[in-house]
Amino acid sequence: MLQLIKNCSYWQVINQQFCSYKVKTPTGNFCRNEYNATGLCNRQSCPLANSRYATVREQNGVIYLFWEKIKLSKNYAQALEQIDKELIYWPNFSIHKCKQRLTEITQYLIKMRKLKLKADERPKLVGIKKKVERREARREAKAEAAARLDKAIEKELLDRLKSHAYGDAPLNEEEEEDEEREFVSDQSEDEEDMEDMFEKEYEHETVAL
Amino acid sequence: MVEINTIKNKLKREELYQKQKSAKAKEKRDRRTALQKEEASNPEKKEKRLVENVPNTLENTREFDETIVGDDEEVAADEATDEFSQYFQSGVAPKILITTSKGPSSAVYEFATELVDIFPNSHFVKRKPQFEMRHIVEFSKNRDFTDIMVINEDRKEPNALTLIHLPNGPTAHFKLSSISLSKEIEGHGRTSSHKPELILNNFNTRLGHTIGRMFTALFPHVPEFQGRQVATLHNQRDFIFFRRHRYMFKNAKRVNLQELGPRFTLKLKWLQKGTFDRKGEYEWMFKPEMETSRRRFFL
Repeated sequence: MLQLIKNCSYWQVINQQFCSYKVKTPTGNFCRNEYNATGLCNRQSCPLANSRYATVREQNGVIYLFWEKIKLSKNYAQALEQIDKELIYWPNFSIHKCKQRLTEITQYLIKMRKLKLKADERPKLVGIKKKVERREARREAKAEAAARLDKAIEKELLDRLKSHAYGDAPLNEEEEEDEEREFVSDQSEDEEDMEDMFEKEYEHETVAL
Repeated sequence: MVEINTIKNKLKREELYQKQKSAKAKEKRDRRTALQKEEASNPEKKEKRLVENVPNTLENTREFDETIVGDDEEVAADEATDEFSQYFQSGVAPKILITTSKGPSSAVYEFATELVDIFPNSHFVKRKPQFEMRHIVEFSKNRDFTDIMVINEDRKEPNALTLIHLPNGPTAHFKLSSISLSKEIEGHGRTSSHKPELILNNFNTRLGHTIGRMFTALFPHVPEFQGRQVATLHNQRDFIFFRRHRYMFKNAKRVNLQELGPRFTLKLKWLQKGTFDRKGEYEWMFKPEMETSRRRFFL
C-alpha cells in the first residue's frame, strides 16, 4: 500500500512538475533514462515511478535482464523463457516490453556481426594527402623528362635490329607503311603462312629487364 | 671597389650593374669561343671533355640497393620456380580478365576499352556489385584466366590498377596517373590486332624483376613482327611509363615511331603474395617513411 502511494506521488511530480530525464517534443514526451524499456515518458514505462520495474540491456554484446543483473542466454528462445521465469511477479506490460527489447537487441547484434564480417571486403577508404599528391605529380613529370622515352624506345628497337631479332632482312626497312595491314579484318587470310614464316625466323622474344 | 648594392643612387647603381653583367657575359662568350676554336683543331680534347663532364642526375647518384640483380644464379634459380614459371617455362599463353571497381563511371569504361586493345586475348567483364574480389578470382581460375586487372576509380577517374596473377598470385597494386587515351594524342596511329612486342626498361632490383616478369606474362610469347607494334613499360625513378608505338626502320641507324596510345603512368604501391586478400602477406608495401631520400628507388 505504502509502495503504491510512493509510486503515485513520484509520478505526480514527474508528470506535473519536473523530471531531468524528460524530453518534451511536439509529438510526445520521451525519456532519457537508460533503464527505460520503451523510451517513452508515461506512467507504465517510467523506471522511477515503478518500484517493480524490469528492463533488458546489452553490454559488450551480452544481453542482461535488469532488476537484478541477470545474464540472458544467447539462444533467443531460451532467453524468452528466462524472462518469463524471472519476471513471474511482474506486470504483463513489463514482460511484454522486455521481450520486445530483447528481440530488437538480438536483431541489431546479428546485424552488427554480419557487417563486421563483411567489413574486410568493402573498399578501404584512404585519405588523400594533397601535399604528397602534388609532390608525386611533380616528380612524375621530372621522371618523364629524364626518361627521354622516345629515345629509349628507339635505342632498344635499334639494339634488337642489330641483334637480328627481326631476321636478316627486316620487313619494314626502307619500306612505306603498309596501310592495309592495319585493319583487324585483314589478318585472318594470310595469318597461317605468316606465322610459319615467323616461327622459323624468330625465337622466343627476349626481354630486356 | 665599391659594392654595387651599397650605392644609393638608383640610376648609378643600375648603370654599374648592367656594365658588370655585360662584362661577365662577354667573358663567358670569349671563354667559350676560345674553347671551341681549340677543340676544332683538337677533336680528342672535346671527346675527353664530354666523357669527363657528366652531370649528376638522380639516376647516377642513386643510393646503393643491394638487391639490384646482375647475373645472379640464385635469382635465376629463384625465378625459375616462381609463380610465373607457368608462363616462362610451360609456355601457357596469357588470358586476361579486365574489370572495374563497383559502380564505375564512363571514364573507367573508356580506359578499360583501351586496355583490352593493348593486351591480346583480354576480355572485359562488367563488374556486378554482388561479387567480391575473392569470387571473381575463383570464377577466373575456373575459366583458365591467367591474370586479372581491376581498374579502380575515384571521383569518376581511374586512379589505381590492381594486377592479380592467377592461379597463385602475386597481386600488385599500382597508382594510376597521367592517363591520355589514344584519341587525345595528337597524330596517333590506328592499332592493329597484331600481337605487340614488349620493351621493359630499367626493372633492375629484385622487386623490379618480379614486376617486370609480371608485365611480361601479360603479353604473348611470340610477337607478330609484321604488326610493327611495340608496347613499352619504362621505369624511371619508380614511375612506370606505358607507351605504345608503331615503328619503321629507316635504316640501320634510324627508326621512326608513331604513337598509338594510350599513355599512362603506374606507381607501385604494394605487392602481395597470393591472390588478393586484404589480410594476406605483403611482400612489399610503400610507406611514407621509405621516402626519406630522393635518391632511393625500389624498382
